[in-house]
Amino acid sequence: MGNKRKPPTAQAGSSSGSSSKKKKFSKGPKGKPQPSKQQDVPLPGSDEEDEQGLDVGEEDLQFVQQYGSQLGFLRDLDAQQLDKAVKDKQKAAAAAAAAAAAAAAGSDDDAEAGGGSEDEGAAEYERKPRAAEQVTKASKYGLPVKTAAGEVLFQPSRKQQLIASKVQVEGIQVEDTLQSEKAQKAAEKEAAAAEAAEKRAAAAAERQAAAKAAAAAEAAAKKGLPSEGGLPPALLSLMSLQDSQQRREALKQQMALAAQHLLAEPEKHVGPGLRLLLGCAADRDGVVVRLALLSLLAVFKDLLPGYRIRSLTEEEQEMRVSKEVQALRDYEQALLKGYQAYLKTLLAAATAKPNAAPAADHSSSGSSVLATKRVAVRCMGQLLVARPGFNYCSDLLQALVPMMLGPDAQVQGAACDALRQLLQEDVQGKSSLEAVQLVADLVKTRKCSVPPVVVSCLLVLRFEQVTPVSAGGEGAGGGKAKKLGKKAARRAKRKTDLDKEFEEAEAGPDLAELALLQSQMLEEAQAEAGPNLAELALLQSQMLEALFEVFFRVLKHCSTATSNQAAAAAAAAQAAAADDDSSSKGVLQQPWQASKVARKFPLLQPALEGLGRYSHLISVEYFNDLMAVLQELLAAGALPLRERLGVLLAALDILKGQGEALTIDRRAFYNQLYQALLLVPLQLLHEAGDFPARLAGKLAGSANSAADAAAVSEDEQWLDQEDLQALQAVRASILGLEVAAAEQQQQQQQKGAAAGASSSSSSSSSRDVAPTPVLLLRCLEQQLLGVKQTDMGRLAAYAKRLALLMLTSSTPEALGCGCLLYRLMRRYPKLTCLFEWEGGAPVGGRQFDADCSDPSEAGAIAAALWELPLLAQHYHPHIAAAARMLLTLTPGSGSGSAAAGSAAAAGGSGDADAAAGAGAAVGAAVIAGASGPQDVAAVYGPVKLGGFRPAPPMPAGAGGRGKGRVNGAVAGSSKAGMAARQAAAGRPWCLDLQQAIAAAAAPEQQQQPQQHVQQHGKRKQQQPQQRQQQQQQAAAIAAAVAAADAVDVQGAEQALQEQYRLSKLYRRNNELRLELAVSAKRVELFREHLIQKRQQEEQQQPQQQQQAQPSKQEQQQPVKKKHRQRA
Amino acid sequence: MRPLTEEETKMVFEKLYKFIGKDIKSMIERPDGRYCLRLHKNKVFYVSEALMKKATNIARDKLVSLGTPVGKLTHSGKFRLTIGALELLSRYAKHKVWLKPSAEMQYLYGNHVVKSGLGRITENTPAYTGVVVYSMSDIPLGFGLSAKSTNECRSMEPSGIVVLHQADVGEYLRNEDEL
Repeated sequence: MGNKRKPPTAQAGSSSGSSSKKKKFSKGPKGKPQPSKQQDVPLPGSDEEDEQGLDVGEEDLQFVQQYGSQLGFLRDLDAQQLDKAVKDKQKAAAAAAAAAAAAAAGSDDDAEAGGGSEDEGAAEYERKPRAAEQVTKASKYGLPVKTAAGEVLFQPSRKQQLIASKVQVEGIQVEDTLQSEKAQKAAEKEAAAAEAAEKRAAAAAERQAAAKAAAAAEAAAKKGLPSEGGLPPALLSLMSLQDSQQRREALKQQMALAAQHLLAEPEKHVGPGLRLLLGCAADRDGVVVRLALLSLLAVFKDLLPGYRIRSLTEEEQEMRVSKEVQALRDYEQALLKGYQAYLKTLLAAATAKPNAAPAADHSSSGSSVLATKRVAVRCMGQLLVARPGFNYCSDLLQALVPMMLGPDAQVQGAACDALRQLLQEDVQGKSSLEAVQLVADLVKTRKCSVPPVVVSCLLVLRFEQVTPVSAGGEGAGGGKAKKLGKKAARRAKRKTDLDKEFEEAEAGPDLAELALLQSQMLEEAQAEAGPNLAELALLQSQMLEALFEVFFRVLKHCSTATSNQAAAAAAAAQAAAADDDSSSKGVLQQPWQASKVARKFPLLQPALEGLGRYSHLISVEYFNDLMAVLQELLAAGALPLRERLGVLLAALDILKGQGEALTIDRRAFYNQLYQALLLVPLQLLHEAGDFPARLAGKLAGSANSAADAAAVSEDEQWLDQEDLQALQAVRASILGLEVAAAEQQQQQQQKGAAAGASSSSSSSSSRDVAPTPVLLLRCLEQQLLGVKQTDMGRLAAYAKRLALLMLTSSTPEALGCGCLLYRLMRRYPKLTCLFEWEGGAPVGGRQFDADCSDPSEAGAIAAALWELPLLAQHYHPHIAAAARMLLTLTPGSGSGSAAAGSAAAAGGSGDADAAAGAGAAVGAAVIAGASGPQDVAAVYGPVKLGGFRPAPPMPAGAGGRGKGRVNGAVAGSSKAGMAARQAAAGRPWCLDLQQAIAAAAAPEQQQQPQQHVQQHGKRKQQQPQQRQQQQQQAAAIAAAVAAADAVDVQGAEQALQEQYRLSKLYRRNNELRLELAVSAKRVELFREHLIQKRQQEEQQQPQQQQQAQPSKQEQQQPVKKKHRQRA
Repeated sequence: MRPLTEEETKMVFEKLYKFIGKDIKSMIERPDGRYCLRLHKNKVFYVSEALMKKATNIARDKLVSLGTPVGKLTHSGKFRLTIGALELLSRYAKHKVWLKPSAEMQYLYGNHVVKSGLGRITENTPAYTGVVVYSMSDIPLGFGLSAKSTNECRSMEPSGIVVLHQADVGEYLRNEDEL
């Protein structure tokens, strides 16, 4: 019967038959009340029918029915062991077989007769090593015994058997007893080991399934061996008890073997090898299926040719061909057939539902189905990527694209990765075109409710593949062939023809052989490249069409949805907005919550991104509709700020590429942006869904006194970084050591700097995500500074609103707006009329209307920037300084740079209002620096709600003013020293500055006498030296002044405030920590005291009262110490 | 001097509507007092009510002009905007066209605006609506009718007419006696 285990090795098809036969033997002991530990195999109820199916005679049946309960020893008969050791079995098991029930032997013979013919495939070595174990196993339960009365006794259970073995006549039974006892112990030990081994092997198998399929076949071979080889040979026999486990191992080896054969000589083994692997892939064991799928993937990845195998026509089939060609054809057909079968298996696995198993308790089977599904999808993806042009590629795509919707994240991710890779790497373009079209269809059928990753993975497409080819063909204009539509393709074709002619014409007159040769070669190349190019252009244009279909569909969907909503909400207002002539007051519609938008229009963000990315490819014909849709989207008012800015930026991107030919005044977009600015201060509320909670938190915070609240918030902010040092500080304060305030302050400053650095790095790392303030300022910058503005009324309105925004929004927006405002003022000096108040008289017939929705009709020329004086009192010193800086741009001050210079001079001259001057310098540096508004916003953001980001690092380009002053200092070194001293006099708190001056003063004093010497002595030899020294000293002073400047720039004012706040914070922190430490110490002492007390109680229970007094004294003492320390 | 009749008012407003849209209302009700339209010797004047009341003191035949002349009624009874309306129109203009410096003089001699001279145009300008013509430094030069919409402008050839000339500031010199 053991031979039945062999067939799977030779023929995959018979594996199921063998397993059913095996079942029969495992069913034997069914009714037997055995204390078996290996009873894992479930026993189906229909064994009778199964047995009938086999060639089992009536007598056999009867026997089994009669002695069914006694057939326990057969249970442990290992099929494989028996079959692998045929020889030994014949020798050693002869006695056992003879003594065993004749009927059982009969059924055994049946099986042997059936399996004998299939036995040839087994390797010889497999039979040998397991012979010994078989013997011990067979004798495990001893043999049936014939009593004196002639009755045959079976040992039903181990217990009974033990008793029996003792009772039996010793001469016969001794050996058996010993063996059985040994075997029992071994079994008990090793059953546990086997279970562990099984687990280990299962884990290994799982790991293997997860591993990359490239090494799957080899890995299967390798892993299969060590997991077996890692166990002692004695265990191997017991492992074979575990039915599925053993099968798994065997199958693994078979698969590895088959895969290796396949790869070694594909022509020879393609038929049987694939059949075997496919058979395994159809197995009932999930692990085996997965392994088979992965090995097949590895095999096919290596075997599949790069070309498409086409089926032969009838004529070709009838034609006589040479042997090699015939062999190749056969091989290809076999390969294709196997591939098809594999794909079918994959599709079945991928579409299988995890919940197909009806029983709820079969959760393991469900998870196995899911795991198989994941593996199948990954296999499909890798096949697609590896051989994008091969047969059945479209079937693969059709199966794969819907997987991108999948509820399972891994399946979805695998599908998306595959698609992305395909689109990136596919050179021929046919399958990627199909993929894009399929996605477009998917979006269409799902009505745009598709996870955004589906669309965003289309964004890896590149459409410039045409360019290099045409550039090689000397057609510099060929790159333009990537325009939309068939027209473009036709144009591209014509272009290549032209190029060809041009080549010929060029080569024609030159009769030199070399030129002729070259032209021939070129022509050949053209002949190759020409159709390829045209084809590629056509493919790409179709791809582009499908891509834009997706984008437009998404936009259309969004706009209809939002406008429906808007119509329902405020029909009148919407009608007014749609009608551009309305001067309706800019009534802000309440935008949707960001989460709602993300839920309703998941594709909006990627679609806008895609439009921006491929804007240069959009045909002019689509512009009108596209702009109309975007306008509609903006006008509906449902979008929150961020999406709104996204739409605006996409529109700007689109128009930037092709609107160049005709400069168009984008009035509508200016209106939209103007209105969107009002949303900025509310943005935090809209973005955070739970703003009432936040508001409550804020109110609670403001319940404290303002200073305390600030200190507390600062404290919270720094708490994490301080944890370790706080502990040390606690210890120090416990010991009563007064840490010097300066020291602590230095620590704090370092920490602050670290915090600034870390946050700046984090902001730079998240630059690609672009926080909303940066988006806002990018949008504003493009609209206001990107094109030359002619409408001063509009600009004035924008300036007014920017100033308003500075007042109401958080720091990054405010400073960005300040920067932008400064640039606007400098570029359009007419705007400085906003600094003059003419009594509110209407200019150009208009008075300022702050609520007007159209900036060009707001009449802002008549207004004045009242916000700036208010901003000069802003709590953030940089904003205040920026406002002061802006206020210096009065109409009379000429160009802005001069104003900046004068402001800088005012800051540096160290007059009475030194702090204000320094602040102005900071503001000037920030908003007039080389870094644009976006950078400023990025540097100062992002700020958490209620947070106040301390002293951000200066933007890189902001040191311009300092350089100017350094140069001045080099020119007049002694003057510079004086100026620096004066500056320092105004800023006594600035220790660094004073140090720098002290350092600078020493060389300066040395220098002066030397100069005198030089003047009087007129020693010309010394002049070069003198000059050198002078230069060095000048450099030293310059460095000192630069250092002073650096201090200055980093904010003298800031430093003062910082110092004050830090000292306060420090004091408060110290108190808190002291209290904490004291209480902690108390608790500790109290605990010690308790422990002591308990010990004393235990030791001397009768003398309890005497001990109580000293312990009290002990308790009081530390507390006193505490108080002394505190004082 | 008399107020316009119903029919005349309608004609005038229809013309103005082409240029300034719904801002007609703010044109009449200005923050510095109410303004009105008056007809005098077949010319239509845009005049503040205060001035108009004072002007009633002057005999009709002695009164040459008052306020801003915005147009005239032709013999056939139609209304035409004259260059005097430019200030009014430019203040409230909905659709604008900016000329390149090279095209300014051509326009100021009474020619239409061709595409090659077009420096910039307001987005979404429909065809056959009133547009005010500016120089690139935002000085109003005149007004006319758009011959093409903004989108049609994109695909035009450079010699195509974009704005049909109606009036330009050159008329102050050329047609001095007619004004």
